[in-house]
Amino acid sequence: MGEIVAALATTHAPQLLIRPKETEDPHEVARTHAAMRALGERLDASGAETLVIIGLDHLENYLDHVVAPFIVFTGESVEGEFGPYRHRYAVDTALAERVLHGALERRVDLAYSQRTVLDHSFLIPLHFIHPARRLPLVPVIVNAYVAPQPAPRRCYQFGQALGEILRASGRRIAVLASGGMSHYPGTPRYPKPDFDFDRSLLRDLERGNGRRLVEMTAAALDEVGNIELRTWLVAMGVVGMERPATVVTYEPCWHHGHGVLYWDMAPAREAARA
Amino acid sequence: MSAPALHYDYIRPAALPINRFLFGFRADAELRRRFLADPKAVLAEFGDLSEAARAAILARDVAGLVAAGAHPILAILLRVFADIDERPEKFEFY
Repeated sequence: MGEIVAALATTHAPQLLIRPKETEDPHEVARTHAAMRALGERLDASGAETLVIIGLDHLENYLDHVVAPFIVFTGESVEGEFGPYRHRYAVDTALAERVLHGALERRVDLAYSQRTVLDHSFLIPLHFIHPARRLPLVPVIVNAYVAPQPAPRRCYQFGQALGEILRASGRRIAVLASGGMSHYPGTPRYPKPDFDFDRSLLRDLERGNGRRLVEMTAAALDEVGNIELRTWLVAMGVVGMERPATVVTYEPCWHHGHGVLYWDMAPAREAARA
Repeated sequence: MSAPALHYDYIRPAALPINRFLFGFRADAELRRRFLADPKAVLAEFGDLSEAARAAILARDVAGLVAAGAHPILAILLRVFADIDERPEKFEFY
């Protein structure tokens, strides 16, 4: 049997990698870096053999050719790019193909790609959480930005299917979701994130009330500036919406609520051994 | 009462020209380099852009780009990528 040995979720704002000196406080940014590095320590200590990373696309790959709710990357290796940063990552193709077939068998019509350049929602978390680029990836891309996006419940259902597939794989697997929290880039609300929503949701996630997020509508998620939490919802499907999260940091800045958290997988591991 | 507009909505066919330009601006470093050197000459190659789209692109005006049909993410990324290329000293790279 496979095992989920780490489950992590983080923000990925561009300003965390390429900081505009005039507008972004270096101390704020450094605190979020420290939180992401703490996730990296958990990842390194977990003994994971593969990292399933759930990110999105800021219209850097998919605009008018095809826009799919969920895509798994199944090529042999994958490039990530943002500004002057460019990295190549190994892909766990055997597991990626298992995810593709397993999802279709479980009534999730997952799309696949062998030609995608992972955007900053992948590159930035990997830069801070897994700078060694040692683990092969299974990249999963969720459509967050172009309507109609998958509903929160559908993201959760896909995550449940993904969790079944991963646990049946025989691998020790870490899951990393990249997105959130409240921000409205490119809109008039950019300087007014909904920090109250974020804080209230984090309290619920800490109490194991992930159901609140699962039951939100797509329109409600858009309203609170949290369209990217679709990636967290997929991870929640893997770990279960009642599993309490541990918040490493919540760092509000003038345009973004930076949330970093993990779900403790130790209870499941102990249960599996018993 | 109709539902409030989404911040991140569907891209209608009529809005494709401006969004395709912005998509290419990020994806194609050579296009970006040529645009930053001579923006009007490069825009002349994109015959299907509206006047409002051209004006917003030249002004790098995020609200104007969105009003001209740009997806908000592509609108803000125009400024981000233009700034990083033109004024790297304004940024700290980690």
